[in-house]
Amino acid sequence: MNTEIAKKRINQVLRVDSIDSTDSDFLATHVPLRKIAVKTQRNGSFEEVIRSEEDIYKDIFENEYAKDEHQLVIVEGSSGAGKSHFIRWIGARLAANPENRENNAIILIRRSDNTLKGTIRQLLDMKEVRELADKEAYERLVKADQVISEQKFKLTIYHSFIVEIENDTQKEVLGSMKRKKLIALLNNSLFQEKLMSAGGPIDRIYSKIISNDANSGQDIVAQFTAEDMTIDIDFFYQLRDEADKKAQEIAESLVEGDDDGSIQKITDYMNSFVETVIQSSTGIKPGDFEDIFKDIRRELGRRGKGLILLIEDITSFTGVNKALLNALIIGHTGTNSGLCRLISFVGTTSEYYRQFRDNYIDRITRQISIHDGAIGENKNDLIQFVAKYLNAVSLSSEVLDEWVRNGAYSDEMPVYEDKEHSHWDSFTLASKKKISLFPFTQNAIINLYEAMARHKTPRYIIRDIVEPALNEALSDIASFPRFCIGWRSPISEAVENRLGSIVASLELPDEAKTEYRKRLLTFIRFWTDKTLDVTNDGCISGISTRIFMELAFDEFVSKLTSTATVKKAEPAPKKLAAAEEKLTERVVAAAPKPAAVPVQPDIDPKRQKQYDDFKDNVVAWHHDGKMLIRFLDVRNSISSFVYEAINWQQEGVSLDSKHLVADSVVGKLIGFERQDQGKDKCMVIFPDNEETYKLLLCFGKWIYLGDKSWGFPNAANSVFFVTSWLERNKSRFVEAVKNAENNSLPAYMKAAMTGQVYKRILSGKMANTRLDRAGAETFLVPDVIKTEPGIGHSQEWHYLHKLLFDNEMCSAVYTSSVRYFNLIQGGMKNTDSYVLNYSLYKNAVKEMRKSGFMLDSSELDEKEDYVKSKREIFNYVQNVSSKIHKTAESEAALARTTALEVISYFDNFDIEDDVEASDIRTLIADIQEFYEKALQAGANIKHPAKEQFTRLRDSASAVASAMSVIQADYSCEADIDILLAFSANPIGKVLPFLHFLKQANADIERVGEYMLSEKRRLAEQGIWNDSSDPRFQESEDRFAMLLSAFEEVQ
Amino acid sequence: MFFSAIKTEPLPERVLSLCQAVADKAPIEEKELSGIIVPPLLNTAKTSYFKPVFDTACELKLIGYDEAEKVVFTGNKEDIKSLSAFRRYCNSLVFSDNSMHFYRIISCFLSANDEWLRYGSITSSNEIARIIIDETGLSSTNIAKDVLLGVRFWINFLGFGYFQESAKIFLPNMYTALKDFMVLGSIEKGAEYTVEEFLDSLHSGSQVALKNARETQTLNLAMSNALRLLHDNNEIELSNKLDSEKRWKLFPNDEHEFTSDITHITIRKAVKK
Repeated sequence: MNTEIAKKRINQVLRVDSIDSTDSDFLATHVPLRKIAVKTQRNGSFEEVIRSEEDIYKDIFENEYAKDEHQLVIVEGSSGAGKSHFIRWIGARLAANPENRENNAIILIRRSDNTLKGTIRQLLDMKEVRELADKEAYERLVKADQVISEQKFKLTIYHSFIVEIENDTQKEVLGSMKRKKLIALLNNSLFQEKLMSAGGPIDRIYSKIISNDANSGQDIVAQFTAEDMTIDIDFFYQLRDEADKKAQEIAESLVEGDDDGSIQKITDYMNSFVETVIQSSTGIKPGDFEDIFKDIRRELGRRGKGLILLIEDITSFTGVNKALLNALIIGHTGTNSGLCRLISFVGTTSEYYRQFRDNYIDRITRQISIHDGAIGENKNDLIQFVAKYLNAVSLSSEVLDEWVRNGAYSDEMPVYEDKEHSHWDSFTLASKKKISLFPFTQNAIINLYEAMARHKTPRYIIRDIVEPALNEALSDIASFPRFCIGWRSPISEAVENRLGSIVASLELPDEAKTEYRKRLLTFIRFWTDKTLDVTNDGCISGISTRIFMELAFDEFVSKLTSTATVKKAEPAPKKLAAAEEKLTERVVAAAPKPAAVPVQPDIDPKRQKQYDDFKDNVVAWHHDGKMLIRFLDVRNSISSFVYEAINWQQEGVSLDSKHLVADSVVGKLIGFERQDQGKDKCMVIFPDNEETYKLLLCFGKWIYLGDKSWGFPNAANSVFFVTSWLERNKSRFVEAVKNAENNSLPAYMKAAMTGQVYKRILSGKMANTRLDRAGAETFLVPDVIKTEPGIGHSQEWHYLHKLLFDNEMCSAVYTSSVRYFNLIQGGMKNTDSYVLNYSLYKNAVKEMRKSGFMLDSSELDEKEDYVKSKREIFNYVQNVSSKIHKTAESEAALARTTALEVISYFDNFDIEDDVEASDIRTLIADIQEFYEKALQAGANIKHPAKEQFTRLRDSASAVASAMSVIQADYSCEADIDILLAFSANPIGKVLPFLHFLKQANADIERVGEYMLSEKRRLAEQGIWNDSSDPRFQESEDRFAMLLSAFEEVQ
Repeated sequence: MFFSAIKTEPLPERVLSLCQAVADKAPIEEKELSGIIVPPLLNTAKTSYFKPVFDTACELKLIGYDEAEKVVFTGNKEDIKSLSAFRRYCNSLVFSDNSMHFYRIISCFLSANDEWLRYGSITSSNEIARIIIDETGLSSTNIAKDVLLGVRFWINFLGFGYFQESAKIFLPNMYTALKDFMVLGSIEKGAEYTVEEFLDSLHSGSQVALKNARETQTLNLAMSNALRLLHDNNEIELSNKLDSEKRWKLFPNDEHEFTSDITHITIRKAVKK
């Protein structure tokens, strides 16, 4: 490529639709169309044949029978398919023949800027039009070409619609009431603003009449669409606030979702006025074109010449195209015998053609269809097409002009000899001249064409491939190619992964690596043979190493050549000539060779399809930034793999911890950036990077290709990847499941062990145990069996007991607390066998002893919080823990009250005094004596059984011991220690004694009362003196005895 | 286990636990030790796993008896400080006799490359059983299900690859074991070795993974994966020097930077001792 010339010429050559595009550029870039579908009108029906463009030319212009016939030839195809190019080629072909020039006036109406105004300007510039007899029509066209402001013109168009509707007398489409409502809506300023917004229908119609941007009007249709007329609900509410009632009523029928067919009906109704509006706003009369062409034809007829009219695109005549067609169907016989013979070629998009075809079907002589991909059906043509543009860009216009002046013979076409890029690929013309394909290769052209998302037509090949590639190559080849990063072309995963692996090993910053990899992968997948073969002819992937260096892939070249085994270069494949090879065949041929693994299982096509579908989603996620969808099966498989492949115990993670995670979290162990659901519920999130991309594909293969096995092609590669991935990421999973640093206890396990301590305390199993020495007898024993707390505890103690034992987590806490330290074999969850993890247990016990056996809600680690089972264990025990203070307080208060009550029965004792067992026994003996004397004295009280005194005496030591517990001052004690102190229920032990004391006290009081009443009775009988009656003496003695007993126990 | 019958009970972590208890409590009566390691109130199984675990610890020369018949710790406490220290110690010892069943079976696992991947479970595949019998010369009773189940814990622990536990499929990648053999051998940081020199400098236990390697100059999948991962992690640098006399073949992997041939290995990162 001649870069100096190319920089100047690129815009001239590549802007194929520009009016400035020269014939020499056109001819230098023309590639014949080989397969064109031609339908010929015969006896009222069309017959289709496949013809080349040369055939068509001959059929029409060199056929003795046809060349003097009136002919209307429609050239239809999608936007950019090459209709204009074909019509222009017809023009050039005609012009090349002096006889044609002599016998015909040849008028070519270019697409120009594809606007009515541009078309009129072309017409005005034509000699044939300037010499017209009908000056009025000419004047109107001149007037239509005058410039008025954009806003003024758009308003004119808009109001023209209102005027047309107001004057519409047809009632079939829309009744008068509806029309009035529509006019009211159109007169509403909000609605007007909507229709006149950028890209709206008025803007589009305007741009088809007049546009300042040469490209803007290319594919625009000057019509209303249903979308233009649809009103969303928010807009409707806005309208309701300010529009009048009629406007509101019709607006309601246009609201999105409530459509009853009204929207399409109104849209069609509006479109029925488009032509009229354009004509009225430009000042053109429908008959103007007819008149002008008639005048021209009459004049030519007079001179004995024919007219060949070549219209590249009928939409250039938007607003007057029906008028134009009407002019073109007029023959030159009968009443029109004064007119010359007319052969017209009219280009139209297939879509627009459908709108007028039925009305003109009988008048159309031929219908030529140029399909999308017509240029790409033949690989040779496609490459030749690009090659000719590249060549034209490198040649000055003078060189090409001279070639055209000399007859534009194809074998004489000048070709730029690109010595600078001789190591790049080339294309050999029939003339044997070689055109350098820089900055393309033949593979690149084919692969890029295949990857085009839409419109595989010449215009888009130039716009989307040739132009951006040239611009990039001319500005900075070292960052080439960028324009097609993100495009897709099949490449084996092996090559993609190997390339990623090599780039990962380059000494570049991570961010630069990503860009580098993308650009390199794009280059490899489009430009090369899609291998990473290094061959002894100085090539990589089938193209010169120098090219890689020019593209600044030096590090890659260096790394690849130092790691690869150099292969012997195979003979160069036959370069493309005229062979008609379909692209699909080419792609298959270019597919990479299978990897070097001897026996590969066959893959069921259904499974392959499932994998391919999955891969498409992952590719869209990774390469296009889409959401990750339909990934759950694969995600769950990866999670299962992690659960199963990591030997958790060997990583210092208890299987209890792993089982709780696996049971609670299941597949959500793993999540991915931009997954379409539930990411916030996942434990370990993996970013969208190369490694995650490969991981997803590996397990996609495992599930779909291998049917959940490694029995798929190249599984060893996947094994390397997944084991390496796991090795690199193992610590993340271990950390997430372990929830603790080194050997320390995770919060949930601290909770479980604490819960076991609570259970044992509240069951009275912790008596005589010091919490700071708790060990195997507390933690490595069977679970406590629930027993109701005995009498003697506070209400809060009972409540706490219920809270602890009447909960389904009660047994889960035990299971975890012992399973955590069991070294289990394989994947078993529970086993009868127990082998202690000594060091884990030892550290746990040490930590527990220091813990204070209390839990704070803040202790729960974020990762544990994710795991339902762990969270539930922690919350359950923490809830109990939070109630311990109150329980301890109540229990201590009850103890103190009880102690004070007991102490009150002892003479000269207070709460600080130790109540010895002997003190208790003495008191019991005194009380027993009291009862005996009372009995002798005849006091009417129930005497306790002897066994009771014996029992009380026997329990004196225990009561004394319990008294020491309940008498103690707990104001400075930790809550858990208070709870532990009352674990053995000391109050309960003291209570029988207290009850006994209370009973004795009551009996003493009764005896006292009896004594007083006896005294009163004797006094009343007047016998209360020392010698009045011998019975008195007896009574007095009994009383004296009672008094002494009373005084003793008092 | 390593030099006697292979059993499932002596998991590596159980053996380590017992050794740690002995180191902590020794000298200790065997019965008391049994009560600690297998808490009688929690072990409700008919048999206790204590004995096979105890015997394996003895095989590893980490525990023994003193004159008073009490159990004592006979090893170096540094070797039982952590699971990784214990693993390295085991790797230094358990492959010292290539005639042992344990050695022969592990060697067979590693030389199977990717062949077993498609056979499924190592314990239920007749194909795998047949291959092990053919390769090792062991009888079918010697490779009973329990034997292979027991081996799987150790092959995984010793760092030769991963097991998909429920499917019982072995995924070879001896990254961890190779690092142990590098540490235990005479590999030096910064030095460049030919592949042969590198293998010579590894601890002799690495021989278990090098069956037929020198004759064919081909490394198996487990070793190839390890070398590739070390290279990818920048711990070593593989290279393929065109002018080298001897070229070694890694197990083919067309997705990796090194698809097959290598000639040299340079040690990039310090080998932790």
